[in-house]
Amino acid sequence: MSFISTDFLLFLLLAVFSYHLLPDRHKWKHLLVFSLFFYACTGLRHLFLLLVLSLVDFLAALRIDRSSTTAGKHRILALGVGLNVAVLVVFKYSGFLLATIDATLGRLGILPTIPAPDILLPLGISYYIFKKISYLIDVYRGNDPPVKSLGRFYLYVFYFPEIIAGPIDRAGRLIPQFRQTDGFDRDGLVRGGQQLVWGLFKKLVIADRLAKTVTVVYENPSAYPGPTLLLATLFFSIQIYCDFSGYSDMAIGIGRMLGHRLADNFNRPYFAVSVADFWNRWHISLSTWLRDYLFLPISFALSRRIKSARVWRLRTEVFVYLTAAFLTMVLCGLWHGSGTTFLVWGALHGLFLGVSFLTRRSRRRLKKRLGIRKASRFNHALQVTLTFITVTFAWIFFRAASLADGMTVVGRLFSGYDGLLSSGGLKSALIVGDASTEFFLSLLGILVLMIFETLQPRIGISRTFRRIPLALRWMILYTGILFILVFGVHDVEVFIYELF
Amino acid sequence: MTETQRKRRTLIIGLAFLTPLLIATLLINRFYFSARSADRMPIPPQCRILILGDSHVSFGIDPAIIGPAVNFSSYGESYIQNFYKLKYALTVGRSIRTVILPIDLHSFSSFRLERIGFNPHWAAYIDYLELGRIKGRFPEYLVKTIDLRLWAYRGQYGRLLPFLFPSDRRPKAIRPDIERGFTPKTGFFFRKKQGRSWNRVRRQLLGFNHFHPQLVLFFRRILSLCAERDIRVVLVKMPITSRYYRHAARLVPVDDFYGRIERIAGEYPGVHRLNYQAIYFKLENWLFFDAEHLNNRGARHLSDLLRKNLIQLGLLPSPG
Repeated sequence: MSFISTDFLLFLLLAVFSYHLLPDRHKWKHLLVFSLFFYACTGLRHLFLLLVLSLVDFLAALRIDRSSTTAGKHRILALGVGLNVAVLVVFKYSGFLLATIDATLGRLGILPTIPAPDILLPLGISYYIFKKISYLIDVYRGNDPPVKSLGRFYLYVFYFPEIIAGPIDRAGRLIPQFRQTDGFDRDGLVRGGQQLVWGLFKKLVIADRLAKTVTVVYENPSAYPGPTLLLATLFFSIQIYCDFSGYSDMAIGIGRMLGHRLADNFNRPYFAVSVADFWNRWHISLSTWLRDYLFLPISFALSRRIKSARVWRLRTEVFVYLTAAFLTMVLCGLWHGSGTTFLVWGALHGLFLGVSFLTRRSRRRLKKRLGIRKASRFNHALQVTLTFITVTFAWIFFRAASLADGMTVVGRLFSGYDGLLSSGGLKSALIVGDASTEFFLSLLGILVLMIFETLQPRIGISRTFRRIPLALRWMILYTGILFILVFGVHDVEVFIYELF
Repeated sequence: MTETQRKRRTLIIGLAFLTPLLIATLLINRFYFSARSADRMPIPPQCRILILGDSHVSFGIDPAIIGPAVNFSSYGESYIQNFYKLKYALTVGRSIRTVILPIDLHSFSSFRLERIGFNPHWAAYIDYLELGRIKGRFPEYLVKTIDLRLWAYRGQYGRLLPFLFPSDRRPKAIRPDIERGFTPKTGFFFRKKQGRSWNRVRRQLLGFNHFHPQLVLFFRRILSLCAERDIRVVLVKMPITSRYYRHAARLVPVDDFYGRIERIAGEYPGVHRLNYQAIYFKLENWLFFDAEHLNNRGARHLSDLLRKNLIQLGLLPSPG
């Protein structure tokens, strides 16, 4: 059941309506039933698997809490985390690993061909595995007490607004909200609904329309000249943002309609002034997860082991930062998928973070010499533009079907600009196929997004929106909803991040 | 204000917000269907012969040659769509006395079932809820019905805008080359197309159930509805090329297949059979535009022949 289907709309109406009719003490049970039903729609086998795995995690957290020795806690934690990682590896990476082994052995002529496993990826596995791991670690660290109610723990794992593609909320933040009974939150219901509509706009009007161009070009990149590849890459940059942030807006909006505040996932990432800043704004719930449960533990472990003051001419803390950042980003890439393209994408981000860290002083000196003030608007615009270009470059590998395709795009990106200014040259380069209306609708969507994102921090659009007269507000909402219905692309019911 | 009062007030405001939206979307949907009805076939009240079927019929029978007839067939349609279109046609065209229905080697193939979609064009005819019950997929069909009734126009700005902003440059919804449902095709069945015959057969017949019970059920419903209304049915084996026939006969046991159809047809009164399957085997290069579809020459020839046969059967008055 996709968030952008009529099935889901009916499901949501029923869920929200009945939720608010129930007495507070029964609300979490009601949500659990709806969440289990939602996940059951993806397949009963996967539901059963997740129920069993979650039961193991629930019991493991209780054992960690009860264990009196650190070694005992550590052992149970290792078992719990190991089990979750093993499940993730089996479902997500076994095909890739076996194919790699098979190809390697085949080249050496050692073994007969290994058949590819026929494993269907359970929906949202990357997200709920990370949720459960964070829960176990937080209980182990003593940050959160273990949940005593299995039902509430199941609700944390299966919570339907989050289960498909996050946000990866922490148990300590979400579970208490299931218990809280603050009464009926009308404002939350209205604002949640508005955020849901905005998410739909981003997904259906912008992302899916841009996807039409991107898909055609990236299916056969060698057939297109540099300007078309550049346009498709820029479009993909916007597409993936609108697709995923659109989904997140919908999830957060639905949570809000149910009276819950879910973790923010995006904060205008393309206005970031550096790659590190980008990761503070992009998929925030994942980047904070990676920071807390991967980057910091790796950094601490390395710091403890390295006794010397310098490693390879670098100060130890710099070496530790570079290594931990690179490893974290490579694993972040692998989290997205098992292909080499994701590995390269992650490695590129690790590299960007490293280079950015190592060159920070020389860049500062260069700017000083050029007379660019740190607080100037020019400096800000320059940083935002450079970060956007860097991040967009990395998206090439994220989107490409194979590493070879990615290299083709990079290789051809700066060629084929000769005939651009000739008659019809610009049109043929920019408009893929003959759908010029589609192209202009794409630009219109991007323009609306840019206006929204630029104005948001200055005037607080949702705050301003609430201040305008009700009739006008409703007219804007009606126009928006009908615009989504008429001008949205409704034949795709999948979100990009749903596939990870 | 108590919490119950706040909830009640929110519910009223929510309904007040949703009602105009619902009305607006229903109106746009209605407008969309009326816009699409421009390419839906009008059935004149004096129409006596209704021609149903798929592309074989749509490209192959010219109603203008036959007389007071309408070719109501369309590309990719099975007996399921045929049945619902017949039901609709009988409510509009009250003088329909004869129905022409193809019985081709692929007519009962489960390949046809996979092509039953939630097409807004078909939504005007098909009772999707009934179909959902028959197929045992009621919830899915219920949701899709809501989809169609509420917002079949989703994403169809290309079809809505020409009616809001009419302009000569925009494509017309109604195709000028379609007359009374007949779509003439040009081209011939020459060497390159001959090589593709097996592909066409394979696509429709290989690995499919050639006598799918659901299609049999709707075939029976057509015959039964016609029998109830005292309407004659003419089952027509449409012409195909020898290449197509040869390939198809490798996959479908032809005698047994038509024997089963005969047994079903024999249960209903007023059913006639006409066999044109092999009549153009020797002229196939000139009268077909691919392995299974007649071109406009073939269609003219067949329609003329069909008219004569209908006169012989007493279903059309003799010109003399």
